Amino acid sequence: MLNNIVKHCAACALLAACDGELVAPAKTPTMTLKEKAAAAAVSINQGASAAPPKDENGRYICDAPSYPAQSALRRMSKRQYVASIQAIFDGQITPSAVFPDSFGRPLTGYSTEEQINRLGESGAENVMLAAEDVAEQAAQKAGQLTSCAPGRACAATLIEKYGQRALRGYLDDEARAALLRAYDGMLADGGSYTDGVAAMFALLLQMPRFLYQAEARADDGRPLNGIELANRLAFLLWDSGPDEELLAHAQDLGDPTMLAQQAQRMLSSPRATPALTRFFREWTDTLELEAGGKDAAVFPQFDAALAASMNEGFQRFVTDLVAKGASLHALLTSTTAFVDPKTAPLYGVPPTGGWQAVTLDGARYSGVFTQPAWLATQAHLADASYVFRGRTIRKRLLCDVLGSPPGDAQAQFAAAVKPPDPTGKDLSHVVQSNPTCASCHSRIDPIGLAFEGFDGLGAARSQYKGGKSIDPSGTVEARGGDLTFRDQVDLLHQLADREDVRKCFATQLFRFAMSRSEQPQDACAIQAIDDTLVASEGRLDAALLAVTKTGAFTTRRDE
Amino acid sequence: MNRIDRRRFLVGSSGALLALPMLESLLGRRAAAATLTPPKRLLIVFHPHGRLVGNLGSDRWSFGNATGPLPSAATMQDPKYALAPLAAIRDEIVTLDGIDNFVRHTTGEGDGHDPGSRTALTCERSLATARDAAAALRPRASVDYVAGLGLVPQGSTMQTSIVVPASQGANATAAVGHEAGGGVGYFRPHFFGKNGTQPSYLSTDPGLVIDKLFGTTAVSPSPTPTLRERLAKRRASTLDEVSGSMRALRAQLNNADRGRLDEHAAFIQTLAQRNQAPEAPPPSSCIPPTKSSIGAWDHNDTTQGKNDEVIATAQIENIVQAFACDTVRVASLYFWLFETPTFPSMFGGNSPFAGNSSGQPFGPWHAAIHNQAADVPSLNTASHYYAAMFTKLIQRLAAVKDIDGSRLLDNTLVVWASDLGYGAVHTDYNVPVVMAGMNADPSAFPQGRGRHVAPSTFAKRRSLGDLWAHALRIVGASTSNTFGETGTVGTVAGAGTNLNAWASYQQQLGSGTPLHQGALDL
Repeated sequence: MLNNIVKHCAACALLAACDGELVAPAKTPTMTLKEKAAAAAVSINQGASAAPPKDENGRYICDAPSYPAQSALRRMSKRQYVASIQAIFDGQITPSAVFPDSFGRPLTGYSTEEQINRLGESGAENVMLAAEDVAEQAAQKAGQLTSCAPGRACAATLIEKYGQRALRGYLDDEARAALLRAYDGMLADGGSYTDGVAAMFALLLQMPRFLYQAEARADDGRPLNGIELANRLAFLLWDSGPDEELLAHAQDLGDPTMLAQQAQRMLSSPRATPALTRFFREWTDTLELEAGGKDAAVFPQFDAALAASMNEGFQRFVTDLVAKGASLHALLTSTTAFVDPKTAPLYGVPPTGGWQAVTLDGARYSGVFTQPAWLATQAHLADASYVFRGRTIRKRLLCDVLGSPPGDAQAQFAAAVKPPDPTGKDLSHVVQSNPTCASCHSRIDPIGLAFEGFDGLGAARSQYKGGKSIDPSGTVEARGGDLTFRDQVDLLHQLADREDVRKCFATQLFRFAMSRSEQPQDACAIQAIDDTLVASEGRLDAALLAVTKTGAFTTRRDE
Repeated sequence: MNRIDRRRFLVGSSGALLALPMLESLLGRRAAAATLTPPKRLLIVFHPHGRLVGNLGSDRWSFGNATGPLPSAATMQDPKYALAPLAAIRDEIVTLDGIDNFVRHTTGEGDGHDPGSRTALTCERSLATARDAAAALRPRASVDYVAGLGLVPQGSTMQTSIVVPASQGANATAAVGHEAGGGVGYFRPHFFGKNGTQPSYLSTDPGLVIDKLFGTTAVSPSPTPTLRERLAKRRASTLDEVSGSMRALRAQLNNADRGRLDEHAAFIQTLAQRNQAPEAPPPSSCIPPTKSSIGAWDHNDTTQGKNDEVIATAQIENIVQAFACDTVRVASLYFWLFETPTFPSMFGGNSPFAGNSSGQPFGPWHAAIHNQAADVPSLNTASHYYAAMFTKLIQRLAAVKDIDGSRLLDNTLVVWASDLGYGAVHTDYNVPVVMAGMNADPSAFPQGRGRHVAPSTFAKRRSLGDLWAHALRIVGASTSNTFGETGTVGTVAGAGTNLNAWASYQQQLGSGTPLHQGALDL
């Protein structure tokens, strides 16, 4: 099916390759990089906030340039902070545990949304304390951070290196002077060189250019400048700031070729692991499991080590797929898993000596939604949850919007007459006998019930505890007609071939990249990502890189 | 640095003990200490899931159905009452029926849990109607923070309000909510700081709360300050530089982003103020708790509420002494619903809520809550736990002297409330409310204490907005007759918003129901 779509959409694939959002003047081989960037800049017209028109095939017509919805000033999330500190100090410094986390539930599911990262009263305080935590360490390791002889000149050297990294290309004379004042002030108070370095870092890591992804106002629209684009790229692909190479090329990033080169380099870097893992975690709503998250009486084997291994197995699975240019189809159908001695029993494979890629039983396992980390997240303390699993696939893989249950849903369920030792299907049948409940559960439950062959920890099971057999087959309403499947593998293979799943994935990538919900004027950007998925036969890496080519990513509009 | 109590709040925040000089610790005090006029304070006690047992007519929560004196203490002690332990403080309390979360109904959401949690302490409607969208849109600050804005004197560096967890478990102060139900990470926020930001949650470890609230006042000053202490001394100037760099960035931003940065800048300014001039010494009533006074608890096993009585007792003492030391004026004691609580202090080793949760989504406690017929007496006994902790809190507030020799309780309004009305069905009407304190002000409870207040007719039920507005007026934090949304349910909900939640609500109230009707009849 995917191949058919590819053939059918050959034209859109071409469009995707050149983005179709920004209309640049004809590019000639003689143009310099800066000329190309400037040419792109002048071509942008007044921004529109409405969706672009569609052609007779229902595709958005994207030959007229458009601007994205506003992009808000965003405080870095705690994960981004951790990745940033590790990158700034080359892994020599431990990020502070008190840096404020996000607060609340993100609208899109992605933890970098602006709203959930606003600082409160205690958050501002904790930023200060976190800065001091790191500053203390940095001062104690000042000799390792630079080789110059202690003194004011050496402090200035530290500012050049670490200030540029922390402020991500925005180290200007004003910032330099402020940082040196912090150093001088500490010495004036009788402090040592080390103290002065600490004071300097304590300030540096509270500066707004460190804490915030900030872009200059764009009024009715403009392309991002080089530093802004470098920052967007770095936070998208690394969850942290640009490195020296990216900053060195920042002024040339307006050129699509340079942008693509840098994006490709960054995606191939080990620094991409945190961002990639976060995307797949947050998209699939897979928690980082922790000890205590399961009923110890039912899962005595679930301890901190197993939780960590399940987390790492998930990370290895998704990053490996991206690294080898695998497709969305493979993400949903792969039988490869990364297993260590702790997780081997979950998969029912022989224990290994360390981490090892294994090929699993294709009749049971099928990609990311049969990863134990996902199955265990989408479960109760002691049991599997067909409702959680079905709901998450509905919302995250199919981008469905579901309502909330009635207030007395739990009480109604408790009071309902159930057969003895009920199976999942028995319980679903009881729930769906109420038409109000059925309106959602008829769409949720069959999908979730397909995964009943996995228990609350994600281990395979062939029957319920009471001995009743599991029937993972089902039929469920879907766009374009019912979807009938034999089991979870059949379901996931069918989903992997669906156009609505692919389009949803493009939308999810957009939400992740932009840290916000899509707006009507973002339609061309999402279409371009989807077109790339089609043209590349669903390659995950290509889709990620396609985001960076969209106008939503490379331009800014404020009005 | 103008308040050592505040500074200690700061230096202890990382969990690291920093020994600041004792002399300094005695400098940062309020003007209240000098004038011997006790400050007014507000303490919110919050437990999850509303009335755990019984609803309306079959209510075990209330001691009676009509306004009037509470029954005798001997009668109240009957364990059939969910609040039986309150018998010991009968003459200090007022229990209320008929307080409803009207604003929750304006969200159009079916299940009362999420909208109840967002609106119970804020009375603010979220703007979206979809469940997830609504969950992500934060309301404005909750009532505790609003009270802090009114009770913390202008120019003071005191924390506006603090939220002190009374329960252990990963959910107690988790910051980010996930969709997956059960287990780690499932969290509904109830308290909100300025503009809906994260409130000042303190640690679930009472020892760390001592560090944070009281620093190391018992420790002699270090002759050679550590690097961290030297950094702490330069905070004011560091924060000044931060403000400067914010101003520079601000000039480049659009208006919306300036607003976001300004919000942060305001907090920076407060932080800088906290790190400047000293104030007066602490009140003589200030006796910071010590870690050795905390009962024994297992730091490695915080599951199923095993340590909760120890934790709650210690946190109660932390709050009481924070009031006595005038470290804070608004605090909340936050009981949170951990995964599978067993209430060991009530059941010993024979909790009906212990053990294997297989076959019971979310565990046996949750199953019991939603299947009331199963074991009402046990649920009632679990309710006694919260009532017992509330009683302990009131007794401690009554035992500790304020700066003028009166009881702390006499100058403190205590309001105990919850996120739901009747937890079993997630309704948001008849939210359980108990009030106490402010005896120094005869107008606070003009009809006296030891009373139950209930609406005479169904239509006379009152809103949480009325309750909170009234509470804010009692402590002098506000003069407004309203709190949160104003108007009627219908005007706040707007056209087209689903009011189906009302269908199960006696059919007597609806979109025309006013969100405020003035002062409560206390």
